[in-house]
Amino acid sequence: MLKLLKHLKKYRIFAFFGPFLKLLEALMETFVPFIMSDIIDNGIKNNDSRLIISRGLLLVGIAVLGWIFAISAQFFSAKAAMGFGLNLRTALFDRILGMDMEEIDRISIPSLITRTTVDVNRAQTGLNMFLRLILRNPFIIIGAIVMSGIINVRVMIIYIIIVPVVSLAFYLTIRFAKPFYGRIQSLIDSISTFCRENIIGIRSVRAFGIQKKEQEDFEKKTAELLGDQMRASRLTALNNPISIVVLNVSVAAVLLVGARFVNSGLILSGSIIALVNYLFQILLSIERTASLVEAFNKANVSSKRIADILCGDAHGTDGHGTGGHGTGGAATKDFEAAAKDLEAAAKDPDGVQRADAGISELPPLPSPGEELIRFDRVSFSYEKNGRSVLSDISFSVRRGSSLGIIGGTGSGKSTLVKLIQGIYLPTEGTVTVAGKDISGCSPEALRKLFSVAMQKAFLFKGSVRENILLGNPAATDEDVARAADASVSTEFISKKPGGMDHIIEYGGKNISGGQKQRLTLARAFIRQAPVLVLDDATSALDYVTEAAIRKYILSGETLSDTKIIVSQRISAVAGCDSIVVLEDGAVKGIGSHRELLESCPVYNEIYLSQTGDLSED
Amino acid sequence: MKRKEKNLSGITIRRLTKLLRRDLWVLAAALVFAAISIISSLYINVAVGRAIDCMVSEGSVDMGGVVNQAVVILVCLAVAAVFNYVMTVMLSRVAYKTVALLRNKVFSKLQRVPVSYVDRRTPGEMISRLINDIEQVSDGLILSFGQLFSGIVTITGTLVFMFILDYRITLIVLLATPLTLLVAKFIADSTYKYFVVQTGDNACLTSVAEESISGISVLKAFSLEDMKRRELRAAGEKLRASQTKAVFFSSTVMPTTRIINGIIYASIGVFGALTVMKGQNLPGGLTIGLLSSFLAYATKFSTPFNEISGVFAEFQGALAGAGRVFEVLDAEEETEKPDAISDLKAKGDVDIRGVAFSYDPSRPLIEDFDLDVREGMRVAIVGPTGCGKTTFINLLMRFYDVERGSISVDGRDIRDITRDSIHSNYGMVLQETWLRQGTVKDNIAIGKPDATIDEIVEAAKLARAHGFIEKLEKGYDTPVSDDLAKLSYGQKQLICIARLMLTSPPMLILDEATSSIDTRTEIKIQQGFIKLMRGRTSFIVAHRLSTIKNCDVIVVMKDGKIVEKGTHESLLSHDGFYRELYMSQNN
Repeated sequence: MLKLLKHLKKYRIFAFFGPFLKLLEALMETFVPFIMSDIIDNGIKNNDSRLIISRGLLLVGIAVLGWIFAISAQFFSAKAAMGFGLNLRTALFDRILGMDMEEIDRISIPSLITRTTVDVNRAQTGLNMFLRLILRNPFIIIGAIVMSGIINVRVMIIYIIIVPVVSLAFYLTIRFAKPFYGRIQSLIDSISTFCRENIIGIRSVRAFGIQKKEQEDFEKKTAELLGDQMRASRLTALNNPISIVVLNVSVAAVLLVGARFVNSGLILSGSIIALVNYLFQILLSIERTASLVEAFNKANVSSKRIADILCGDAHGTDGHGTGGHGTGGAATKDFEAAAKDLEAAAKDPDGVQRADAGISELPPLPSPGEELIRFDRVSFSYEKNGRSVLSDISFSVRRGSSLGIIGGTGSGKSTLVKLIQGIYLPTEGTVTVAGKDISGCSPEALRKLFSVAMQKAFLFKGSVRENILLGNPAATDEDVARAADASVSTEFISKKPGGMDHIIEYGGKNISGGQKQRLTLARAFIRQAPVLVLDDATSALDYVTEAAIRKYILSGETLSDTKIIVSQRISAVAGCDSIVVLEDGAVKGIGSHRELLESCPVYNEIYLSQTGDLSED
Repeated sequence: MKRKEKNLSGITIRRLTKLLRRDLWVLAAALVFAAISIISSLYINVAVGRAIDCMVSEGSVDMGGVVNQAVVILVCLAVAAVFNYVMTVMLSRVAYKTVALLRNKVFSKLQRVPVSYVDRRTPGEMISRLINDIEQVSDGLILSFGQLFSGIVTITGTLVFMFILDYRITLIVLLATPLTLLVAKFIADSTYKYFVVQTGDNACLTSVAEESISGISVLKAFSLEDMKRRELRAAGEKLRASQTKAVFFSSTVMPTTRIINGIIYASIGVFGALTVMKGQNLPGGLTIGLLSSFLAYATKFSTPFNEISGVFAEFQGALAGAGRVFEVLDAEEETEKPDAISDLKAKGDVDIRGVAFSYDPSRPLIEDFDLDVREGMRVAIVGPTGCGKTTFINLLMRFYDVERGSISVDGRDIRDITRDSIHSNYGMVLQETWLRQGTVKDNIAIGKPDATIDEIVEAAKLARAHGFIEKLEKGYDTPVSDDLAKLSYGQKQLICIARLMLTSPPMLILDEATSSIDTRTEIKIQQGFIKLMRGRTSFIVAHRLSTIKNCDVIVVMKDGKIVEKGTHESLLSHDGFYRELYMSQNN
């Protein structure tokens, strides 16, 4: 939480005034018993009704002042906390948008979403609570102790002893219950996962007739949860009795000691009443703090999750040694750092030192027929010294030509595509574009080179037209229509209510997978980039549709003159000028369809498996 | 409308009470304990006042009296503490037990509802019922019921004690209390609209965040980060503004009730002091000590009211949650005819006559479907996406029942056979793989729990899954689950195929069973499949036509109808839809 406080920025002043005003309010509250004891000891005992009434008015005045302080404090705290939340969100988004895909995959997309939404909300609620409530209680405790000292120093010593004892008692019950809460949460998660799997796999569950077994396993989990919940509640149920006991034992003690002081004339009985009241204030505050600490813990967990992202560079430098948080390859890390510097520079145009000194734009692209992209003995692994996903890959793509990449699952196709786009940098070897090593190119410039359609189609909320236009905001209606035609989308778009203006919901929930993929293709087709990259982008389409789209891609009508097509299907790449055959991360052959059929056994096998007859054994 | 709602919550409460009937006496006991605990801790205040009255002035303190009252305090606190503890544990026990009971019931219900029930809802929706709604029921109904009761007892007890002490000053408290409650209610009501705005803004931000982060690779590829950044910032700023308002206004409740309490406190102090002063020498009048007891009661008097109003909101939420849970529990279950056959051992003749089916009556899907399949035949079903292939499988397995026409196995209408019995006659591999939480071994043995490890390995070998399983950290004992990234989609599919290789049902269904496996591995599995299919009636749905060339009959579907039927050669020999499909794959 503390780490994040620098994100308060311009709300810092509110974060100061909130607790400061709370302090004043707490001060007001501690005056009350003191004044009441004055009413009793000096008013009643001396029969002074004027004193009683004037002190009564003073009490009202204190209440009003307290109210003003409190309301202002609430306002400043709310302002500070919500501003803090906004700043955190903005910082998180900036950071996430600047992450490379490797980092995103490692942290996982759902987790990133939770952090920017739920976790930020919790963190800001936590801060608000901290400013408003958690600080208020120590103020009251200290104020009450001081006031009791003014009445009688010896009684104050009782209070000074009580505070740590009670705090420790609360701390211990929370401490012992805590491990249960961790386990309870993970049990609930596991129940939820179990149920999800059961629902998703309903056909398999029924087909194998394992409903009973599923039910038994489920009940085992709920029983286990019940057990843990009961164990935890037996501990936490101690909280109330403990505070009842401590509070009233202390009261009894103060009465017994106080009676002696009164007897020896040290204090008056009104002071005893004040002392008992201070005791109540102190113990109530400790009790409240204890219950707040629990709520605050939740906010702290969330803060930690946010800080992990915002201070993510820490993972890159020392690796932290935590399981599952593998460090990026050396090259990737540099790239990440470079990208971040670039971002910083972009955000701070007046910065004296431009951080992008070593990075420049792309050189002018070569003319058709000349070499555009070149892989020179490229190897890549996701983890430092980890297993190579790609090893010793060399090939080149000429401007205006088409390159096919074929291979089975796990052959390294997708990684290769990411290296082509500069999303990952090679662990060994070099990738050059127009003769320039891409590790020296800005990611922004590289992206302008490519128009990409990926296997996992993704659309944004907005009309069909807007989604296609994302590829090229300056495109005309005719361009959009052409792109829709090319991706065989015109027919289904026209059947949607509103046609091109049909609104696609968040995540493209209201259209089918095949349609999504076709619109993704349209978006790539409309983009004016020299290289078109299709990464298994037709996998959800039937063969007839795929064939029509393939025909367009390999025609001269596309806006991009260079094409890179990745697929598992021979039919998708057979028409390419050159095909790279990948297996287990290594190149098994490069050449045209015809050449490969003659020379490359792996390619032959794939070909036969997709077209040839299946022999019975 | 309003009355109807009330009626509904009445029914919900009655059903909950029925559910809790075994624990009702525990609840009742808990309430009695709560009352005992509250009353004894309230009485402590009186004892404190009496003790103070024993301390008249210097030299004339009745030490024996103070000690007596101290003993009373200790006894009361012991009673209060013990009963409070027991009460809390009892209430939580009932609450958590109810949660477990409801969860088990809902889950068991999900095992018995028709597949269509689950298909029509998202998993998230069902899980939210199972986790959040049920949690809300226990928190909101049982725990807050306890709070409500404690609140009422505290209020009544305090009133009684105050009346006994001095009825006139009690009237001040009684007059002022509604004021506190009205102010709190006024603030809550006027804050409500800010919360509505805030909830909307929060939902808006969440969807923008969700979309931008899920689509981040696209954003990057098309350099759209700045556009989204602006969108997110705008949504964030809007949320900040409305959240600040909502949070601030709602946080004015506490200070405002505190100021009212402060004023009440001052008035009681003044009136009390004046009363004490006037009646100083009257027997039975208000004393300094009792005034202090009174002040202690008065300060705590409004607290339970605030708690109770919070409880009501929670109560409403819990009732709504309970309603949603009961909705699931009321869902209709799959039923079987009373004389349905439950021990079918099929040979494998399947006759499909004039079958029609649709998920949505306004959009007919499958119509006039006729197909005769004899024992041991291999039937391929091909066609473009959405043509009804998967629906046909749903009908064969009786996940859905036909609307018109009939499907029979060995001459018996499948509606006269129990679903379990039909399922046990089919072996099935679907495109969507499904793994259970458990080890690889358990997952393969799902259809044959008593299989030996040798049989399991043999099946895995046939499915070409043995190789990668052996490379897993613990081999066949590696724990897996469906959402685990440890296995690729293709590997999960291989495990599902191994499952099938282990069982030997008379009929097979392979619905795009090898869609995620690369074609070379597929060829190798094919040999296993061919062996498995020998002598078994098999239905094969495939995208890649090369895999089904050798089937005895190929059924070509389009828009829910059979457009062509025949062997590969006969279908290719004339210019039809199959030929078109085949050519597009092998140009």
